[in-house]
Amino acid sequence: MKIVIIGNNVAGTFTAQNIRNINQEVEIEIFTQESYPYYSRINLPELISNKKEIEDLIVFKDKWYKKNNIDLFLKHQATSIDTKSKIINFDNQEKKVEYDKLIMTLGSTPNIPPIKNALEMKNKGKGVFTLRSIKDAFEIRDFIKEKNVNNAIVIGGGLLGLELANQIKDSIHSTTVVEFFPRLLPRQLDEDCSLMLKDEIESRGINVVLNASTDEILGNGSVSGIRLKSGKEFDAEIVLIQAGIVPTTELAKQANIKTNRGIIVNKFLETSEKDVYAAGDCIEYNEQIWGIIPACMEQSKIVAASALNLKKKEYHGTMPKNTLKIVGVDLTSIGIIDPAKEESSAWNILKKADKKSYDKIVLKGNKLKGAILFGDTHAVSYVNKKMEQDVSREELLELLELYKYKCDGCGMIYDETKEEVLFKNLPDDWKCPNCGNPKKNFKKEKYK
Amino acid sequence: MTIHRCKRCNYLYIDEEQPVCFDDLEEDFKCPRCRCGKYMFVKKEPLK
Repeated sequence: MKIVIIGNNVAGTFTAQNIRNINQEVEIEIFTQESYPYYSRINLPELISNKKEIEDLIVFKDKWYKKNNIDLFLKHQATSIDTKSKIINFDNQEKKVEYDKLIMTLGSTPNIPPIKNALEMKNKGKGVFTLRSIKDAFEIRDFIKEKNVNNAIVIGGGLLGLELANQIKDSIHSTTVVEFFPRLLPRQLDEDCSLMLKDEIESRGINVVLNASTDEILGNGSVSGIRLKSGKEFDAEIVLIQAGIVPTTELAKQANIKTNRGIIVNKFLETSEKDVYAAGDCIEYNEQIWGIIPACMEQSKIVAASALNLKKKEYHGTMPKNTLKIVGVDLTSIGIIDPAKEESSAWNILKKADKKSYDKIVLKGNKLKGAILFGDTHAVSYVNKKMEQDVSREELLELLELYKYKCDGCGMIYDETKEEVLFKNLPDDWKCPNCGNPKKNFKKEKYK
Repeated sequence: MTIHRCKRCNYLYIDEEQPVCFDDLEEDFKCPRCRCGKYMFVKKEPLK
C-alpha cells in the first residue's frame, strides 16, 4: 500500500512519523512545494534578524527521512487530483503519482484583511509582506537592508506579529504594532495580562496601537505609510501583515472534495472523497478552524490510524494551548482563560499579579479549566498535568506562593487572594489600615 | 498511562503518544526500532 501526503508542515510530517511508528511496510511519500524539509515556522522572525540560520530552523534533516523510510519530494507543487483513478498531477507535467491513500496537509496562507492596496502592493513587491515561509523571511530581510527602512508597521498583534516586531526593531528606527482588537493576544490573554505585555513591549521600544482598523496602505509606487479608519496616519516604508491564517483548500476544491472555509472532515479526518484524508491548518471540523500546533499534532495521530484502516480514535477538537516565549517572556495559555462574566458563580479564579509576572488559574467548581502563566514557568507542568481534573485550592495557593499575612496588633488578615497587590509589593511605609501597625509586624501564614 | 516495552531493544510504545493503543495494533505490527514482532512486547507495570 502507498500513502501519499501533500504538505511537509507539522501535520504532514508527524502524520508520516505516526504511520511509520505503527507500520513499517507501507510506502510513505511526502510532496511539497517548499524547497526545504520540515522547518519551524515560529522561528522565522529570527531568520530576518539573522539570529538564526536556515539550518537552525530545519527540524528533521535528510537522515531522519532515510531512517524512517519516508520519501520526501521537495519543489513539487500538486496541481490536480483525480480521485477516481487515484492519481496526483504536478506542475512538472510529466510527473504523475498514484496513491492508495491520500492525506492532504495543505496548511494555510496568511490572511490579508480587506485593506485598500494591501494585496496589490504585496503582489508587486512594493513593501507589503506577510511571513509564512523561509522565502518570505529572506525577502523581508533583504527589503529592510536594501531600501533603508526607517519605520515599520506590523498589522496584527498576535503571537507571530509581536515576535516579528520584536526581531526587526533593532535594525529599524521605529516599529509600530497595529492591532484591531482592544488588547494584545486577545485569544491567549485576559485584559490585565494584556496590559502587562503591552508595557513590556513598549519598554523594548515598540509602539502599540490598539482598537485600530487599517483602512488603506499609502504610497505611490512603494509603501509610504498606512491610514487607519479613524483617519490617523503613520509613516512606514514597510508594512508586515500578520493577521491570522486562511486554510489552503484550492487543490481539494478542484478535486470536488467538500470544502467550506477549510476542507471538511469527519471525526476520523476523512474528507468527502473515499481514501482521501486531511489534517492540520487546512481542515474544518465542526465548523471550526484550528491553526495551532497542538491541534496539528493531535490530528496527525488520528489521521495516521484512519489511513491505516485502524479507526480507533476519534477527533473531537483540540483544547487551545500555547507555550512559548513572547518577546522573550515565557507564556503558557491553556483552556478557558476568561470565562463569561454572566456565569460568574460557577467559576473560581485565582490570580497572582507580581511586577513582571502574572498567574491566573481558572476553575469551574474544583475542576481546572484553564490558565495564563506569564513570566513565570513554575506552575506550567502542574497545569498541563491537571487540566480537566479536580484540584485542591490549598495545593494551588501553595504552588502560586500566595499567602495570608496577619497583623500581630489587631489580628487583621491581609489575604493575597483577595487583594490586588501582593504583600511584598506594598510600600515600606504601609501600615495596618485597622490599627496602624507597621508592615513589618505582619506575620506570614499559609492557607489551611 | 499504558506502556509496552520491547524486550529486545527496550523501545517503549506509549499509548498516549501513538495513533492507536497497543492492544488495537494489527497482529503484523513490528517494533519501529528493531523490527521484531508484537509478541516481543511486554506490558510495563506503572511505577508506583
